[in-house]
Amino acid sequence: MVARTALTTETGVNTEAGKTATAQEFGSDAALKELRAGVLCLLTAFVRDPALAEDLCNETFCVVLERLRRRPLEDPGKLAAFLAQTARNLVMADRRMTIRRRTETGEQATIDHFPDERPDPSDVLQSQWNGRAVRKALLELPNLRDRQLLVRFYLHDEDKASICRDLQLSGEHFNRVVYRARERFRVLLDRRFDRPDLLCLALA
Amino acid sequence: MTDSKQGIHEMIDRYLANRLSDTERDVVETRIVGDPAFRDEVELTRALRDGLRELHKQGEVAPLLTPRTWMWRRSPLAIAASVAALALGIGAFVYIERTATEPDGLVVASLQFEHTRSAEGGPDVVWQRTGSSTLLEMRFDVGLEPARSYSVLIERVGSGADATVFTAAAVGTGLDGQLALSINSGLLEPGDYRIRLVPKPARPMQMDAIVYTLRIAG
Repeated sequence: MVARTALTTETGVNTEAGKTATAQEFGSDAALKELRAGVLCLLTAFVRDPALAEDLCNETFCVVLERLRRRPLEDPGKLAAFLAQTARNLVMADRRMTIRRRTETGEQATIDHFPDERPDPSDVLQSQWNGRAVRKALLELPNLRDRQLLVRFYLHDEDKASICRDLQLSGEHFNRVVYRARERFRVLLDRRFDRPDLLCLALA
Repeated sequence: MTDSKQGIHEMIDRYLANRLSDTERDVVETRIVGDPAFRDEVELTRALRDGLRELHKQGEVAPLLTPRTWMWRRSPLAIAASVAALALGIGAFVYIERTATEPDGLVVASLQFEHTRSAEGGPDVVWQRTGSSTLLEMRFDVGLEPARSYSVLIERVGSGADATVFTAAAVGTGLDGQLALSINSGLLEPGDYRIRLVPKPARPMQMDAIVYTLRIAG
């Protein structure tokens, strides 16, 4: 995985005009850090490859810095929107480039026959944590109907209206179950399973 | 949970399920970048979905969707309290049956109280009184995470001061996660009643009392 770039307000990039744009355009280091975390969150979801997401995140900030240096935003409040849109555009460009590369070389198909199927170990670990927490949260639901609701909604992506109709639930009940499950899951994830929990999971 | 918070959660759910329009999607993605609290919610929901997929991959979802016995989750105290409440109800029924002038047969009515309240603001359950004495088997859906036990208070509400007609110190939820309470209809004259379930959580935590309403029609 690519190491995270230590992006601070002192970071600068050389613009096409030969000037140096600094990350001060983003405000404080703390604000910049939050923005970077947001862009990275977005990109990780888009590309599902942490290393590529890191690369694209850095590229996003370079592009935005250059743009800000050339022409500041008319509404500084739209910086987050601008970053998000730039990140999305870069992902699209990356996908297009990948497709073009495949068609141009003719060798890419051969290479694609031998992909490394192994997912990132940290992702695997994270998914396992998530799975355990979800399992525990579901086990704590006393009503079968509530467990069905969550599985249908979050795993099978069924819409709320049809689930409520099938399970004869009110929208309010639905919201309550989802909200409580989410809060319980949050607690479990925060706790990250202490030893007694692991023992319970082993026994369950 | 506030409506705005609920709205945010619904938008996140729809975003992760790819059910948003392009404009809505842009709004969400902007907030992911610019609003750390919102981003945390998105990441939490994504982790929840990811966890379910992981369970599904391991074949662990199907067993969770079959009925199971929850007895092991209940404390002995809660189970004992449930039995005691049931015995109390049946005792009251038997007592009234014996003292009644007309020896009617055993009539049982099941009343189901949902956790969610009706939007119209009317009573949650309306029961039409019959000529014979009836055992009212009330079942309360107390929601996702029931407390260890509940104290139950039934009050008659009306024009004057509310009058308590029934109390039970500790009633636990049953095997299906619902709280069951049986009382004789003779205890409840026609009128409106408020049934208050005050939770006694297993761990120190804040849990609100759950209030249901019942109308006995004469």
